[in-house]
Amino acid sequence: MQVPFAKFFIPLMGAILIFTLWVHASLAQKLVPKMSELEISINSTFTGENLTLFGTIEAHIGSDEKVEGPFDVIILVQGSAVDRVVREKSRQAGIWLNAQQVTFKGAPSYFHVLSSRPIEDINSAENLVELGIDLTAQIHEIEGPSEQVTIAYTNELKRLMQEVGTYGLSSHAVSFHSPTFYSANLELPADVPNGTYLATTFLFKDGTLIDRSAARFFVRTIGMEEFISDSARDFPLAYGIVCVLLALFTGWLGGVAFRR
Amino acid sequence: MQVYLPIAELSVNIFFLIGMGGAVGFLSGLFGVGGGFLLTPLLIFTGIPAPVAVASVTGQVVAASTSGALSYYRHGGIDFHLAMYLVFAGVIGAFFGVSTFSALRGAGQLDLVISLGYLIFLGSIGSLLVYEAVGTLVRRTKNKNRPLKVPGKHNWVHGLPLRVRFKRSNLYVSILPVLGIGLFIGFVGSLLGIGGGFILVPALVYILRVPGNVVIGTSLLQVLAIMAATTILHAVNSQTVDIVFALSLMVGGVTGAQFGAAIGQKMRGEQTRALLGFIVLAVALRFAYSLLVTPSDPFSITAITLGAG
Repeated sequence: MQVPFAKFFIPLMGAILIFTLWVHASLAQKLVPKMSELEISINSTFTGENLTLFGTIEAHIGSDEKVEGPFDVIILVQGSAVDRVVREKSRQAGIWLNAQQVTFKGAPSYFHVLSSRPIEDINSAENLVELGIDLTAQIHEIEGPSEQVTIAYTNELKRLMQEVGTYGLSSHAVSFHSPTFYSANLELPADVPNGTYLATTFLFKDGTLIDRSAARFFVRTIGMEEFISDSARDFPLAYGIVCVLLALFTGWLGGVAFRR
Repeated sequence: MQVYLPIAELSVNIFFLIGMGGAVGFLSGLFGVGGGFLLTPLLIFTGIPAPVAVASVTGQVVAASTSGALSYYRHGGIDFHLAMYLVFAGVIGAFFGVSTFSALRGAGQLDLVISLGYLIFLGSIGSLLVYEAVGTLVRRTKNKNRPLKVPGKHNWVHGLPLRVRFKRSNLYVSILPVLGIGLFIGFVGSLLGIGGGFILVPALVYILRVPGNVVIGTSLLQVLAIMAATTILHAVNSQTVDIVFALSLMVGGVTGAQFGAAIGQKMRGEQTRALLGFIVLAVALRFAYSLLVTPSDPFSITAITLGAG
């Protein structure tokens, strides 16, 4: 299945923009979101991190309309795009080997949806897809033998990502502490993928999107770990030579220390 | 204590890594082998991605063979002339091995080839070791003082052209089988993440008739050179060498090897060989199991982007 990215995406964004502007005019309430941290640093003892996303719902400046709920909030957190392959093993000539595969180009390395209620109760599936609150909607291109296979493999992709903690739908993760103040907790696992993350908060009232707001945060290795992964990527030859010298030195040291 | 592996992008317990390096180092010292053929499978079975395990273990094998090679060098147990030919061919073999490694990784068949490779090599070498050692033990208990069959000085290999004299090994042999063996070990070693000492030593003894006093030292030097070249090739080609990971394994491995060697000197040759044979066979069976038994999850996911993101 080939989905021409630009052909599909640009009109969609246009539609969303018009829709958002229209909504703004009709409902003078806005979202003021915040995040506990804008940069998550991975060092040698990194075992995961808790990120708190919170915010308030306020009236627009100059508007005398009362801010009245009940509101629904959906927060979509996604990592930078990577190319992935999902492979399926099958038995051939008696042994199990990777036989069929589907390639997902530009798939988010991390995809979590946090919401105040199950998302299907907040809005219809078609609208959610249109807003991008769906993994498939965020993938640029899917290459597979047939549409039936790609749909099945997309579900497997979600399941496999869920197993390592990079995909999730948490339907009661956003809680309201007052009618206009909400917060949500996002647990980033120890092996959270590096990169730029985008957290988009959607505000709904009675099934209508009132406002949305996006913010970036970064997950990156720092210090020694950053230096190591950067040099492995940028100076692979020097990196390899250093590895060998280190091994020679360790071996020599071991030989000398124990006088074998 | 958890340590973050920057290339594997994984957080693992450092004592687990050092402990595993130590246990394998102990066995490698005990049996006088590099240990890569045990360490790589163990790491793969515990969930380290196969490409990172294979590439990083090559670094550990360099460290393990360095201390061994140095000690043989001090006692004059290395034929440098022979090693030069082996290393030359070996580096070429390693180059092809690493290219094949990258190609297979792209096609998604790396794990399969690694499993099959281990099954074939470990299965055959393990059976051979057990068969020979058990045979010797049986003869000994029956108290038949039959003289051991000494391999003859000449075989078909010695009839090949392009002969070169290797003074230290007291050999006058064609360079064709020498280059062939070097090429093969380099290829297999870099593809499977093993030093190949356990294939190289029998090949040198049974095919080339290299005498016992130089065979281990020469083999260690060849393994050291090939694995050093492979580490660099993996670093450049697939960017899967994790230096933190490799260093943890080295520290454990080099320490464990010393204790293993001390105990190994107290054991009888055929006892250690039988034990090694059984361990090798067990690892081979584990690979057979993963190939033949229905996997718990037939689906797997791989990122295409090379190196750290």
